[in-house]
Amino acid sequence: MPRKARSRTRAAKNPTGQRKTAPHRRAPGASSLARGPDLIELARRLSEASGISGDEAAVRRVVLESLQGRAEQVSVDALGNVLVRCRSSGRRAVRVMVAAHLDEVGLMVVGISREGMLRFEKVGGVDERYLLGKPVWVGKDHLPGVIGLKPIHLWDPSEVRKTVPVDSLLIDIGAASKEAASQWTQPGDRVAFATRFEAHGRLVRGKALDDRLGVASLISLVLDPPPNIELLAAFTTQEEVGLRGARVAAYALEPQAALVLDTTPAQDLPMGDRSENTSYNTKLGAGPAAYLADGGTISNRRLVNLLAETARAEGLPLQLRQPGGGATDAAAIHLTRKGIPSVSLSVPARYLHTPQSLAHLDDWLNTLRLSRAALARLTADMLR
Amino acid sequence: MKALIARLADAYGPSGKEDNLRQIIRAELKGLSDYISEDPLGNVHAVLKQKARAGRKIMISAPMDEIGLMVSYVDEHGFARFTALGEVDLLQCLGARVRFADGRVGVIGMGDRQRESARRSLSEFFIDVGASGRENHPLQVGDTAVFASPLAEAGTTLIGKGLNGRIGAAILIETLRRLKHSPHELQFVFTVQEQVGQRGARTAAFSLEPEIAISVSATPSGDTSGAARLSVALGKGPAIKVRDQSLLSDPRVVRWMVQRAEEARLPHQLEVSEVGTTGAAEIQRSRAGVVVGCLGVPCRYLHGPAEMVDLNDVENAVRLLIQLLAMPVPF
Amino acid sequence: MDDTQLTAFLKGLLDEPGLSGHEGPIRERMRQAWDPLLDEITQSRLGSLHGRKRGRGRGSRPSILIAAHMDTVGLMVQQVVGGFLQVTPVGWLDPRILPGQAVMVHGRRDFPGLLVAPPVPLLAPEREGEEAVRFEDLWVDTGLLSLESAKLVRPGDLITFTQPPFEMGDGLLAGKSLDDRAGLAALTLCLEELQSRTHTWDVVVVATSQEEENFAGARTSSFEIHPDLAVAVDVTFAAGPPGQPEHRVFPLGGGVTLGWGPTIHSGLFRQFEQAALRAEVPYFTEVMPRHTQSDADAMQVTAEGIPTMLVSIPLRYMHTPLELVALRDIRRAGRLLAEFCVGLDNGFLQRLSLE
Repeated sequence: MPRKARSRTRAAKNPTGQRKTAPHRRAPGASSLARGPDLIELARRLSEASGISGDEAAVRRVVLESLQGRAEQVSVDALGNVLVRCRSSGRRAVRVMVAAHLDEVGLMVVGISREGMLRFEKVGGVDERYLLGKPVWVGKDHLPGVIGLKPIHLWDPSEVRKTVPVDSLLIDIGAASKEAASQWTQPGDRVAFATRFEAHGRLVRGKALDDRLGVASLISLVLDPPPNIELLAAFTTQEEVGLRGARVAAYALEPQAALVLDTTPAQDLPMGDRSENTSYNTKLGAGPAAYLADGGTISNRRLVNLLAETARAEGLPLQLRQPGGGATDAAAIHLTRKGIPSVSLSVPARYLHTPQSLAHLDDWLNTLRLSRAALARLTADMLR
Repeated sequence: MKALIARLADAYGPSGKEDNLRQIIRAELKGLSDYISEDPLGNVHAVLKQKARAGRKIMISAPMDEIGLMVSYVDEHGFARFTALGEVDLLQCLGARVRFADGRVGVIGMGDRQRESARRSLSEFFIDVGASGRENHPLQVGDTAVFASPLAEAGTTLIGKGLNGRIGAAILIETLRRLKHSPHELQFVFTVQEQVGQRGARTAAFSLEPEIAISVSATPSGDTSGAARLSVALGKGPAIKVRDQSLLSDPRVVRWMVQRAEEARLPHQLEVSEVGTTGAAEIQRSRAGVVVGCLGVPCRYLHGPAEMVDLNDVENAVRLLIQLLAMPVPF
Repeated sequence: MDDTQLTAFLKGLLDEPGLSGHEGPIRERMRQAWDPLLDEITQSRLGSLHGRKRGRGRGSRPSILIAAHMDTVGLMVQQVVGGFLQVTPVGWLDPRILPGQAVMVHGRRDFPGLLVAPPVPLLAPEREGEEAVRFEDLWVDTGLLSLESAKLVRPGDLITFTQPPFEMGDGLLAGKSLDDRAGLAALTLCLEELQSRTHTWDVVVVATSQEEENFAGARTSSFEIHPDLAVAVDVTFAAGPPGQPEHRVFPLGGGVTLGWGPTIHSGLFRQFEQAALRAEVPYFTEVMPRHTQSDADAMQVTAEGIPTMLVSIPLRYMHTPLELVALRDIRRAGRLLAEFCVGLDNGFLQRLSLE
């Protein structure tokens, strides 16, 4: 259920009114929203909001409320992207687009059966093995439902070994008939996993960490922009169904470089046969993950080097995401117009595209710190 | 022209790391165009500006890059797992020699256990550089290898790695050299990241805004024994592409190419294929649209260490391109 | 146009060849039909037809782009083997419906041919037991001798179906290429209605090329025209043949469908619902969880993004030579589009909201 926003007071700048700049060890601007319970509370609001691709309104509202009165040029475009143009402190500042996507994978109601059960289809790459027996929220008002399955007692043993195809699954909202169900929901309503966000010690757990962690980080960056760059923030829509928001956002913003803040799978589990895991992609706890190349983008080498050098200078951990596979908004951004040098930096997380993802608090906060510090060091001649 | 092809084909330049190719091409192009520049993605543009009133803005593009094998993991025995930048023919990988940017050589291998299974996937291959374990391993994640097989001649054919990526570039350079005059504004573009999805072509077209575009590259032939239903063959001339997996060439361009080929009595063949993609498809969709066509050099054994083209086809492609660019466009 | 005229008009459209990338004949037919109804007609580099009907507003007027694709699926000659042609599909075709279809081969001149499957004993041994026809098996038998065929036809030549359209049941038309000539007819009806109604905005109708291939026409036309709103008009699946998922089919002759999903601007959808009520057009919501597989997908993400809508006409047996559509649904689509255009005022864009 949506929560009332707590008011936040802005942390004071240091007495001379100036911001700290590099090369201090502490990441600049760490005073405002960059750490502590406020950022986690923001992540909770974002994670629990429903924003399935194409219907990001609830998440957009949280973003717009967070930025209210504290960011200058904020606009929403035809696809629902939130675009923020922050003025820079320097004259020849590099125009940098920083993107995080608002949407999450989920389901859409496509029909109602005579018995009042809801037929659905996937929106985005939901891991189908995780659907059975899970609670969901249907529609804008978070109507509770269950993706049920007949109990194990009633299955033919031979059938239990087969996957249940999505088109034979149904959501039960407790309605007795099609007429009754139609009072509450209709085809077209989106369905999200009913997951409460939790932060315990080192771990954060919730749905849609992909990419609400990135969104929270981007909000933090906008509220206290890194100096020396002109920050063009894009909270993009429809990443999970083809990077559609990012494409038009990049066209509109016309940046000189782009940084994408996303999450990436950590597949660092033991192998069934105890052999070496050669496809872990990233490891939880090993820090923010920089991309060399994924399925959609070959990162700009200089930007990758900037991240590595910044991590070294600031004493922050950094890992390299294994090359190959997947894609981020960078794939759409870097080929826009005449080409935009781009790189992605992600928070490693397990079980993305399932009802419960898992990430390390430090990995996330370090991703924010690293991106802020690297952006502050970006200069025009790094881009040729 | 053989020497030029050898220089290009033998150079190290996987998708995303085309620096060497840019250097070689810029050196070759010196003095041949009004200006040479590079764009944010690394494409090289060489433009001949003077244009007669009835002349058109024509972009001629060819890729510069080749397939890359990027290290994704070094295992405990010292074998390097990798991912492919571009499409590799798995069957041709086993036992192939590869070379890294610093010249280090390796061989692609596979465990005996995996060799038994009928299914093949890239994750079962590895690159062996002779290391005995993970300690002090010479490679790290991100290092990229290319196939290592220097260009060789066999009759009228050339065999080598990267021809798929480089033969078009050679044709463009040779055309620029021999072209005495053209009524058109000509934009010769050497594109990056063709192998991973024609990415360079897309941004180059947006930058240059041509009216007409011709892309030049290798195209899969269908002339080996027991081949699938492809209709182009080595030695029968450059392939005028009517259709491939992602492109329907503008019929006016196809007619234009056939007309000039017939006038100059150049061997040529028509290509209707269900496989293959080139930058032309990306260029066609740019901005308000571009009228595109494609010249292909028939090539055997694509996406492997020993691709094969016929030198006569290459020579005839140059001649046809000159015919197209030296005279007015008939539509 | 009354029903007789509409039927005649449509049949004329269905007659014109227009495979993706080679839309010449149908484009000329549309140009003739639209010329008296528009203020300007131009053609894009990729062969799409653009027609603008200026609105009444003063100064620079906002514009709405309404697109229906003029290309259809068909076949292309891949190789000539004696009197037989090996073919490749242009667009998405089910090879199983092809054996026995009469075709026209557009070579140096047009001549008839017959699509055939080889006799079973001629199939490779590993295919034993597998009856389903594949493209690799098919031939077009031209009945010509090798010498003749070499002169008349070559790889790249186009092949269209020759099935003549006919009327059926209660106001139904069966024929090839109703996908999406039905849409073009709807656009024409919309333009006709706009002759006698006032509208503030510019209405730009586009007959797009290459929708069946890769939406290149819609993408480049929306870039060139740069409209404030974009609407695609296409066909969708009609109920009838068994085994179709319930939520993806709609009654034939029961009304048009309005698309809903990520490609569709939710505010625009609601405005179209209002217009449908005003115009008394029955409609269904067509949920499309991911993509619409229509020109709308391309138009929405052009340049800075365009609020996009999809209106569809139910049709049976899509991509076969005998598609089936209800004329009244085509009329409804035309009426809905005209009503929507008339309702566009200067404050529309400001009021338009995703929430």
